[in-house]
Amino acid sequence: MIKNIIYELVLLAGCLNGGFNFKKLSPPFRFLLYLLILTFITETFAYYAAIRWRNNLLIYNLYTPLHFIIVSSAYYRLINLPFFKRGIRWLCVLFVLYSAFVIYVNFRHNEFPFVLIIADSIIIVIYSVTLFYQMVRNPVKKSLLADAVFWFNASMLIFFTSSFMFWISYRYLAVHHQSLIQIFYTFLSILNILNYSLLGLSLYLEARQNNTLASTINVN
Amino acid sequence: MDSELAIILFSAIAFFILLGVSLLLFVLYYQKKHFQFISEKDSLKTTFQRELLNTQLEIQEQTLKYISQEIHDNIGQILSLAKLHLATANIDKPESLQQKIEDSKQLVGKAIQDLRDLSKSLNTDYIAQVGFARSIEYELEMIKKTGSFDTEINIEGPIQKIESQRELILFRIIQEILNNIIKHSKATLITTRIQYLPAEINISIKDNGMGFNVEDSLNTHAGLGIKNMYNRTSLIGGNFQINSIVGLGTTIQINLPI
Repeated sequence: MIKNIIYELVLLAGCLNGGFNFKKLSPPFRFLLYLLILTFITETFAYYAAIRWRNNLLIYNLYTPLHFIIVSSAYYRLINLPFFKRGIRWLCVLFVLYSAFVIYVNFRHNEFPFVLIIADSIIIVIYSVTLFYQMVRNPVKKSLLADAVFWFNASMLIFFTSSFMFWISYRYLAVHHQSLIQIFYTFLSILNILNYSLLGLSLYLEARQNNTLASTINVN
Repeated sequence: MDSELAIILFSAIAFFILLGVSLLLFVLYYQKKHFQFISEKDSLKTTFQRELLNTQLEIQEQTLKYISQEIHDNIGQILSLAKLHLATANIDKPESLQQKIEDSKQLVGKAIQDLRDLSKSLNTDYIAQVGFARSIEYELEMIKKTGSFDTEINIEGPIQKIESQRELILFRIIQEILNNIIKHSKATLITTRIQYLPAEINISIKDNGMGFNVEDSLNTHAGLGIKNMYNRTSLIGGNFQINSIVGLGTTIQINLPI
């Protein structure tokens, strides 16, 4: 319960911070804000659905493709490699088609979207590694720790690698080590809170950086 | 079963350690590249500043040479002639005296006007005040006034401001091009086109003179001037192109991002 409240508060803080500084955000970070808003609404509604109908699986089935498209849009604007950009466009189309099929099947069998989350995680990890590769090739003048892109990308890499590992081993653990599931799930939830905290931090850094830039231009 | 559990836990811990180490290595490697990048950028900046200073000194030197030449060849000659008129004026012949005084007045007036023109053409503040395009127009008017050349100028697009230091260097390059045309081309017409585009300025100066072989001249002393102009244009981030056909004339094009 406390975990959920903290999670919702972190999301809300990120949304409010991003919303108030919307004009100062560059296009990829505006997509990040949309992601936070979508996640906040989804998690709130999923919580309500769990209490009201004891079933929120459809919500997560619908959330995953939207999550993928928004994250892909953010990376599309951050990554400069032309062939990779083409790849992202194609992946979005394929993912939507794949999701439509999976959602149809899951809806009939009332299943959690494991395969969608696993595919989503793998692709996001690839985006993240590619963006790190691009960052190393083209270092910027400002410090890495003050760079919004670094925090965004690092949190994506950490969370989605962990998410991938967890969901890929979920069925095995569910059968053989039921006790571990709860530990790993709690751990993943904490990572999720950390992930959204870091995403909120990157929104804050991005807004602050653009604010400083605007002040510098005014002074000159 | 317990050993399997231990393996899973160990793998999970190892996985997170590996992830952490990878991120740490990335940060360290990035920081190394970052410092390298900053030091390279600083060194480039220092080199640029040094080259800019050298260019400014070169331009200053050239300007002084130009002033000395103008004073010696033009104003000096006019004033010598005025002096000669006054020295040979005979007080006993009032008609001739009157004429010589009139001539001397005219010569002194011309010398004063030439000095004004020279001062305007060299005054950095004046160039900054009236703007780059107007300064070029003025230079061409001065050349036309000599009576040896016809000049045309077309200014296309909305006039945009160029950063003052770059503007001055660009103006001096164009002054040098015009001087070269006056001195060496034997042209009768100088056509200038200044085109302002959203992100760049294109300048083309064309004469109908005798032209020259660009490749040959690059290996001679005359080529030094061309190389200097090329280097200065590169220094302010522009592109310098020269096309010349023997017997038909020369066209020089400068493209400069704004």
